Amino acid sequence: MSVVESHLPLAVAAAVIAGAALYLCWLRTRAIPMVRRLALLALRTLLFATIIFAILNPRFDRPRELQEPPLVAVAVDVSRSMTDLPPDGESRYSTAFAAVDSGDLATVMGEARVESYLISDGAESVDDVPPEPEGGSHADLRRSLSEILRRPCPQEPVACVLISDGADGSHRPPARVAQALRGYGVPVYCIGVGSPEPVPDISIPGLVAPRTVTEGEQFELRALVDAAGLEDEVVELSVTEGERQVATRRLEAGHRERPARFQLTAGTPGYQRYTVTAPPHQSEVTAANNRRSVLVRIEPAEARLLLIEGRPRREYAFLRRLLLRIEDLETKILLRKADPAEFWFDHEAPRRADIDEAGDPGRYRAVILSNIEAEALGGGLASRLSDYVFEGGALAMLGGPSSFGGGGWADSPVATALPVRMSAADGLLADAVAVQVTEAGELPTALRDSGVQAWHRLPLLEGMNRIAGVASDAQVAVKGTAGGQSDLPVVITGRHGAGRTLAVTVDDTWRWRQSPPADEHSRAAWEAFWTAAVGWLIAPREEREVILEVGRDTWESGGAVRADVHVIDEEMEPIEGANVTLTVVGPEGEREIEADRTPDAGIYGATWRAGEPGTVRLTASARRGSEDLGQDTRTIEIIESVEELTRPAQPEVLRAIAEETGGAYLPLERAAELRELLPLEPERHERTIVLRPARTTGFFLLVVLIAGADWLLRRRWSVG
Amino acid sequence: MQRRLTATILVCALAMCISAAVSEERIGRLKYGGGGDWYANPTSLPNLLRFAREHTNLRIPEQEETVKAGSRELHAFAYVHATGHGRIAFNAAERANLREYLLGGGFLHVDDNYGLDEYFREEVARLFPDKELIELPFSHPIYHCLFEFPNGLPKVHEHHGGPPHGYGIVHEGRVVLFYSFNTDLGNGWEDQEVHGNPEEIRQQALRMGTNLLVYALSR
Repeated sequence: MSVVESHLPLAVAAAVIAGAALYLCWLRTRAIPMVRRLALLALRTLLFATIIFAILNPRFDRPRELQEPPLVAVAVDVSRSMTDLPPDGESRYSTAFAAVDSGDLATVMGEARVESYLISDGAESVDDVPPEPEGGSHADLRRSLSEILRRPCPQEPVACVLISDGADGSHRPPARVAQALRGYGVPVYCIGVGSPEPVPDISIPGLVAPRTVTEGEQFELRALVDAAGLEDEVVELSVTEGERQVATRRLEAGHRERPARFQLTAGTPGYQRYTVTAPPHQSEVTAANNRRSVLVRIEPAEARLLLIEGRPRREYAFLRRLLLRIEDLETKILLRKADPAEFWFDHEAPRRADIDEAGDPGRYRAVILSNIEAEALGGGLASRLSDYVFEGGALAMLGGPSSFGGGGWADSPVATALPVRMSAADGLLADAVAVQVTEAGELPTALRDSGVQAWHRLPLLEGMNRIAGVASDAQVAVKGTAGGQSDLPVVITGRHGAGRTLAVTVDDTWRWRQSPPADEHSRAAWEAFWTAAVGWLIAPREEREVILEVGRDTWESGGAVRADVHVIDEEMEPIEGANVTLTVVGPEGEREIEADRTPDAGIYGATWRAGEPGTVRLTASARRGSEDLGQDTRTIEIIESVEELTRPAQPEVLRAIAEETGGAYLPLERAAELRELLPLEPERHERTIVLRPARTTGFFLLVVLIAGADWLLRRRWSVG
Repeated sequence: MQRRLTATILVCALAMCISAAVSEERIGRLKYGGGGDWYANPTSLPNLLRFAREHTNLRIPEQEETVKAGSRELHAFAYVHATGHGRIAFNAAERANLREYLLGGGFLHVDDNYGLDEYFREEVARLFPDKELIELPFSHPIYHCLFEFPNGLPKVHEHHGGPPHGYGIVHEGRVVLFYSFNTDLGNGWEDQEVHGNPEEIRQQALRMGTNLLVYALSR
């Protein structure tokens, strides 16, 4: 101990004052006996001494050595590969928890001060490691360990203990993960959980089918089958078309992915979903990836067209006759004969029918809505029509009082598909209408090629539907003049997704066929117009110049999705130098991706990471300069990732981290050896204890006691 | 201000009237030569049109118009009705016009009101020398396109004894001329007090007439 503070001047001054006070005291006690006089003087001297000591308040330092356990950060991996239960019920996390809670690791950790963390794609500080944590997504070891090691804290951990299966979901090479952690200077001791052997799991990582086949056509469905950890098993595969099983096959699993081919016959026309399924194996970790499906469009051997007509009228009767005359076109007609919804099949023997008997629009190459209100169709069919066109169907709306805005179509799902803009206030324009074919466009070209001239001389039509406008990417094929207004859109063509749309805003073209002024020229014009319009609608999809291929229609969340866009010209020759954009619309909103050129001529590729599970609509649009080359679309399904469930332990990742940071790797069974490896020596600290006796309670009581005794004796001995 | 409002209302009303008219199909009564009473059964067509409007969604007028066989205006009509008790005859121009109308997509219903049959058959032979007036089977859509007539035409009046007959001239699979014989549908369409037909008979006749309108506007 040493006195570290000296106040000599103050002490001298106090001593002088005290000496003077004692002298006065000695003088004032002359009247009492000497013994009492000496006693009072001694008491007073002692009192002054303690007061002077208190004023000086000297500090006394005493050095001392302290010991405490070291700080260790313990990080437990709670990613899905750790926490999700395999069929036997014991997850990797459960095993790890038992060791941390009451096993070897608990013993080792008892000798240290522990800070606990749960890690997946980040780190979360916890008081205790819970027996049943909320599972994270995938493990990002570099990110989560960095969060622990770089966080500011009063004391740096001497080591970090990582309990994990090493299944790092960040897809970074182990060396990069490890190198990034070296810079923190804290050794990471890795305790490996789980087996590096493949997790038993049957999956179908690939399924390929032709995108479009013809009804009755033979085609091949190719599936890739992987049976990790079940190499000696036989997998029973089945294929369903919708709900109907159409093929089965036995496949010896083997050690690698194996192809399975199925020869199928295209069934009912429309969009058919073919699903390959492997039954769940008792020991596999998940059955979520045991099936994969692909959508195939089956074109009718004979083109089919659906006409839904709102009422018997001459426009319908004339169009009906033409449709039934077209070779290789099967026309199905639903005619409403009484409001609100008394429909009849009218293409053969007439009979009453329900609108639902129209069936899936995908069965038809084109659908024509003629003078029918939106609500008469019911919500189901109306909403399916928009998707139907987007996927490659063709839709036409013909004029009449119940068409377009006046028919309540402005707010329907079909509104986005049609090539016109509508509003509920749109009505009819009751003026004579003269028409003229426009210059540019596929349909005007077909009309001019028909040899019919002088369209403006055709019998005048009596009125037309008003529309709010023409869609931005639509083309006016026939325009009209009525009521002093020119360039009124009469026939408009457009595209919606991969499909075609047509709008005709007049409802009495029959006047060209039969009316007082009708003649051979106008009859030929009527025939040419409807033949070209229907022909344009039912043209096969193979004419498309932009084809989007995604390979399959089911992808795992978080995985990479690859799309190839084929851009070809009318002669099927690849087009180079196109700008191809892929629009991805899914649960997370809309984004655009520029597709890059690939080594293959005319093929452009784009890759992106699949987001949240849900339905995603892809639209590929190709342009060359200002020329629109077309677009195509597909819908894919993003499903929950099962990658984490089937991921074997990766001890090599843990070894790399341990090696790079100066720690060590141990499998969980040898966790007790960690005691020998961890720097668990107590930490020694030199500490100095500072003493100030004058500031203690005892000292204060001593002063009070002396002063009290002094006062009492003076009273007793009658000293002033 | 009030004047402007009145004008606006008038314009809107006019536009609505024109809009309604634009979409309406025209229904005609054929005025033919030869001396027959083409104007017979005056209340028949208005009654039929009212009945059809009530039971279907056809856009048809309340009254028929009269149209001559030789008139170009004939081509504006979706359905033309002819009836009478006597001679019916067309000249060459009328025949050509009528033939053009029917083969071009028109529809003519001839209803024998008694005494028309002989003259009409002669005229049809001249009108369609290359076609035959055939009796339509009971399975024909004209008997089933809205109301069901499994036994063909309903019987309204007894003219010649036996059942009624429905004949047709068929062009490209479509009946362009329908001839109702030995029933007198037109009498059945007339006001009830004109012929005193039982209401059930009238209803049957009106239903069959509605079938003819629906057929004409959908085939």
